Amino acid sequence: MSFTGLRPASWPISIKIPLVVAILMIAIGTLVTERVLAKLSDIQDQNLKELSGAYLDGLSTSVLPHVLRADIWEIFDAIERSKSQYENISIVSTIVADPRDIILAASDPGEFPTETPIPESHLKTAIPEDMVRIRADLPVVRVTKNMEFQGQIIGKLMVTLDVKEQLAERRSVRLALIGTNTFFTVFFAAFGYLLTRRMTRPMQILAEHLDQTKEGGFTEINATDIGSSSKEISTLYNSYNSMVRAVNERDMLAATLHEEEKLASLGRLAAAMAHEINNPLGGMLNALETLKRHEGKPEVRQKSIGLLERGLKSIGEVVQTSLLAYRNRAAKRKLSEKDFADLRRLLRPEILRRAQTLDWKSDWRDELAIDGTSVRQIGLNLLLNASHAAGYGGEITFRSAIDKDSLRISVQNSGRGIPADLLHCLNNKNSKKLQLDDSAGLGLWVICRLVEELRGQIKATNSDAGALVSVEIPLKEAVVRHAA
Amino acid sequence: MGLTANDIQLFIPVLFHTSFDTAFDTAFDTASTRGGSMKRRVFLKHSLALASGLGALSAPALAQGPALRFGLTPVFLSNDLSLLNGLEEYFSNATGSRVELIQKRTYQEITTLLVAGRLDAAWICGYPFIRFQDALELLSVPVWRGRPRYQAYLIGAAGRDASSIDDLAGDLHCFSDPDSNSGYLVTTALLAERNMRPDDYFRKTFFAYGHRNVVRAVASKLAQSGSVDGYVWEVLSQIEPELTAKTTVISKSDWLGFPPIAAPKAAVGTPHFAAIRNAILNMHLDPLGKQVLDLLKLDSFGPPEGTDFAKIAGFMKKVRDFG
Repeated sequence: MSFTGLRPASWPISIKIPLVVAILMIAIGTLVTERVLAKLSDIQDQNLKELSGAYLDGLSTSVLPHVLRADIWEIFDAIERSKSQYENISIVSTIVADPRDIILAASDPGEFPTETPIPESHLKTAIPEDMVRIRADLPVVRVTKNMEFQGQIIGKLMVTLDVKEQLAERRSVRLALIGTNTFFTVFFAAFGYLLTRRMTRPMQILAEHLDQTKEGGFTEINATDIGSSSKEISTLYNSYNSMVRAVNERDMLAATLHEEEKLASLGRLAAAMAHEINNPLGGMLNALETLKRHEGKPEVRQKSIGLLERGLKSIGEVVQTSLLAYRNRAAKRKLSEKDFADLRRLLRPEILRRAQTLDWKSDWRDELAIDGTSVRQIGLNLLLNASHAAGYGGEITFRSAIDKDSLRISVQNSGRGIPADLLHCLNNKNSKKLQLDDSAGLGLWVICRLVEELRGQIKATNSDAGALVSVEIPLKEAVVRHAA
Repeated sequence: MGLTANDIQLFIPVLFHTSFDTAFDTAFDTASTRGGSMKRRVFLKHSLALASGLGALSAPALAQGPALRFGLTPVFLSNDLSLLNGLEEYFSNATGSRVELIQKRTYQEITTLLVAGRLDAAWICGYPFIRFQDALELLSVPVWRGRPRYQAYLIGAAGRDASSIDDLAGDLHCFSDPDSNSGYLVTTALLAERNMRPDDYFRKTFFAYGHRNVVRAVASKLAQSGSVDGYVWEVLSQIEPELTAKTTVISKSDWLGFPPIAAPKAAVGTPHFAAIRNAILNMHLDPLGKQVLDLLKLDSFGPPEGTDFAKIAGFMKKVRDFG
């Protein structure tokens, strides 16, 4: 059990309630046992006190004249006769002594010979007849009584009573109480456990279904569980199932939107590429027309050939960049400064089209131990989204730097910021919940997914000036070469 | 009829007192009245029986007279009603008189009543008989194991290593009765021979007033040793072997005259004296009397002639001479 599991607060309620019941039962049982035993002890003590008092009083009356005469035989005979008269108390021994504690006669003269002192052990443990009390650690109770005649003490009676039977009765009652209390404690704890389990079963069913979301997807609570539940719980289950259906429908819709957005992205890409190819293509056609008309003029031919060459180079760059951007990502390669140069190049048509200003700064050179293709995708999407959000004439700021063992990329744009729900999802790294209701949503979804793959962090903020998205991607190797 | 622990009561002499002695009339009448109507009913019943069975006596005449007072001193004692009833019934039948059995705790009380003539007969010990033989007339001496004699025993706790009184110095010693021959006089005489008195020789002495009590005292170790009637000890060893098993006989005296039944000399020659004497001497011939004898483990009550109480007299002299 973990440390957390030791804390009672973390225990399930199905354990807590039976445990509380058991503790209460034990407490009540202990209290009842103590009270019953105390009462039993009082009754036994009182009973023994009365019996021993009656015995001592009777014996005192019968032996008193013989004690006055120190008549050993008559004292002994009186003790012998008293045995049969008090059969309801278990007498171990009886001693009749003079005021100096010298034995006159005893029930067992072999153990307590006449004219010998009462054993010290007996004198120490003897108690007056009005203070009779059974001690749990002593199997006998020794009671003493002074015999008085005309105001003077003429002798002493000491009777030793066997109280093993009373002690056995106490033990028996104690065992019976403990047994009964234990039975009821276990019974009520088990009953409480079962009852609590039954009462908390709906919560467990809900918890189990909610746990399934960790593994993806929601499932509805089946009709059997709903049918066997109370009205309140059935309502709860039905509400939960309604929520599950709504969430599942939303996920399906999101998946559909995702597919549509992918197609839209492909269209935009094709349009962008057509635009990129169309611009030089127009120039090249003009140059070719000029070349046809002024074939004989060397300056014109030279100039037209130059235009054709630059146009083809420009088309080649667009094709090359597209290949780099969308080639098979399985072929991992390290990030190089050329990737970021390509980004700038890919963004340029958008910048020009929207008459935007791009502030570009990258503080590192050569290669970094990081997946170059993914970072290019992240950067391209960040920049395209920023351009989209900045609008016509907007400003875009791009920064790339090494911070400790990670690559930090930040893209800031003027204009409108990121919608609140997207902002929340970005900051909480929850790409599944991103609303894909526009082109920026798809880009952000791609960013989130790639950053997650690279075990990086995203932080997005809005301000009066616009939006700022920062991405921090850990480097695979601690040492960064040629960091600027 | 079996003899149990409570059955045995050995009665010292029984005296049939006809109360003709005017000196004790008042006292006797008082005692007779105390006996109550029950005694009278017994007497009447027995009188009717005697009227048909005992023609030798003038039963109607005796039945109409005062009750006969029978003195009983416990040589060993329990209040055995069957023995008392049997003895009372037998004497009533045999004498044709209403009978009162008088029991006292000590020998002295019975002896005093007997010597004073307030008992018609009593079963006493040889020691008081010798002391008061001038005032007493022997009626009978019990026959035990074929002879009218017994022994005095010194006993100790079972397993005690002692063979004579010389091994008992410093004991807590139990006597039976100061007027008992076997339960006091014999031991005292033995000590007198050694120029010792009981209180000097023994650490402490006490009287249990009954030979069975002496055996109980020694068996329970209340006393370390005791002086007891040998006849009582032997009978107890038959009927209460678990009691005597806790004791051992240390020494036995010479054979001595058995405790006799005596009557006041003043009663000699009266019809009642003869009736009593006949009843006692013929007890072994009567079925009821035989049952009583069986309870007492005695053969019979024999004639007193030939019984030797000289040794008891010798003990008494030794003690008296030693002072």
